[in-house]
Amino acid sequence: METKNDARRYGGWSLGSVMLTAVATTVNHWYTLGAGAFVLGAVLLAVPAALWWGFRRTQSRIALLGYVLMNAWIVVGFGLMKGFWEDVLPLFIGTPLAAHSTIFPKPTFGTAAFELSGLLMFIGSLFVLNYGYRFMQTTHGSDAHAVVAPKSSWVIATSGFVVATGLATVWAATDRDRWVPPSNGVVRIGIIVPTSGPYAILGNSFVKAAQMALDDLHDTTYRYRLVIKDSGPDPAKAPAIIRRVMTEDQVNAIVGGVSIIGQVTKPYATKARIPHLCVCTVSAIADGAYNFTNIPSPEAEATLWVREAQRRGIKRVAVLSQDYPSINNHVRALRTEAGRVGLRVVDEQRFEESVVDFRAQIARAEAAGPDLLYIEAFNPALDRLGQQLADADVRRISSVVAPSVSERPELFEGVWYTDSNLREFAFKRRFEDKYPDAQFATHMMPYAYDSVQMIVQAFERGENPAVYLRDLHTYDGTAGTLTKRPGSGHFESTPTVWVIRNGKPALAY
Amino acid sequence: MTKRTLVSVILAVVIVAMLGGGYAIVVYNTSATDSQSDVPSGFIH
Repeated sequence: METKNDARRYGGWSLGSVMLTAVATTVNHWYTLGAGAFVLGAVLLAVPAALWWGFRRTQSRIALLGYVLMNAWIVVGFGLMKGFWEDVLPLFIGTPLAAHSTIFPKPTFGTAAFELSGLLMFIGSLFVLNYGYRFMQTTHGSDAHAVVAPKSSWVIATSGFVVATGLATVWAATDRDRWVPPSNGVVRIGIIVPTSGPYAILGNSFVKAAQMALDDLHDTTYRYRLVIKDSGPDPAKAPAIIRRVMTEDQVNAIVGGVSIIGQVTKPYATKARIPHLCVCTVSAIADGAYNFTNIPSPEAEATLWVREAQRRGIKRVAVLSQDYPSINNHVRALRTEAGRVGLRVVDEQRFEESVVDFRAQIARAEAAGPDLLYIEAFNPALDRLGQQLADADVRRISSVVAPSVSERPELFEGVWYTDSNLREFAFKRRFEDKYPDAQFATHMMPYAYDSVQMIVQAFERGENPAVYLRDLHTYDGTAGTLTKRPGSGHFESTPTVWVIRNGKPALAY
Repeated sequence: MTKRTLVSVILAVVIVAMLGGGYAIVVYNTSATDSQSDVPSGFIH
């Protein structure tokens, strides 16, 4: 009688723990499967319940076997393989290992809800295992009390601890990044950047800068080959291309440009455990594990811009800029820095790319009485604005980056602006001599060149390239000295002041 | 307090610590990554 009651009790708890674990599993899979997670959840809730009920009513051994198999799926598939291996171990073993040594990557986590639901999947699966086991014991007529006897509990607990420790050790061993010489002595570097659509000019120049970095190599241990792929401008279509680069071309590292593509590339680089250096400003790309960014931050640009404005005696600034995320970010950083030092922003206007007549906006900005008009836009709006400013005889203009991407720089004659530094101006000349039809965008090309060279350095030193980049805190590149804080994935660099002189960008000093 | 209650309490503490610790690690990790200026996608560089 007691055994029957135990069977009923443990049966109820077993089904209850299955139900709760199914809910946690559904929440966790919502982040990867979307609405498909509800189908999975429905299966995990309905099938065990039906089998459990079937067994209770008919004592069918087939129903019991089905229920046990569903329990096993939940425990092994979701509890151990997903919850424990992919959540518990990265969180509680991977994090301290990465903090201790750079040979371990910093784990990449999803949202808090995703990770916590993963933990709950694991915790729930332990209850599923425990009550499922007790339920099985009692349904076989054995004495339930023997199962929960202290001695047996300790054996189970000790065994569980040994197994968990063993799995954690195996996980840590596989988590470590090791140096593997490239097969056949060839290092394949994927260059993933849009070379068609609106980014065609920048993208093709980017590819040429990467090519130039390889052309400059001499007497290397390994041979280096670029695998150039046009990601296209559409981030929705880029994954298929990136997947091919990973699986078919089997690249050893990636150098990319343009944040919208860098964001798509990031998880693929992480999965393949290869370094991805992106000439991008979205800081979230730079996880410091496998993904790194290499470009001056808006804050660095703003700090220098404001310092230069102060040096020139500027006290009042009007802002006229295109409504575009990276430009808005420059303006936001500039406003913050200006406010910090007491430089007044007397007027601020944003415009859409489609605007063709700027006269009213120019008049309003001028009416505010600024010492200087800050402008920033991309073409075609940039050159339209430049022409109308020239027509209005507004010459006290400045910017960040923009004049360097103008197709008519003569419109901005005398304009000063901040942009990436060049260690030697000869680099720009050499690029332009080698590729006379390519546009040298100062804020991207030196970084593309340096990024390829960093990857080469890693292989030449016989180091895992991801570990090499994690350990790299200073690099003397064509864009000056790059620095990276320990644990960070962002290579910072100091911009400098440029001026349009004789229709061309030139260093101001 | 019976042994069973004690085990339940210890188990509850372990579970809460696990969830709390996991949450803290995720939040710290996310804030460390996003501490620089973050920008929505859809722009040129």
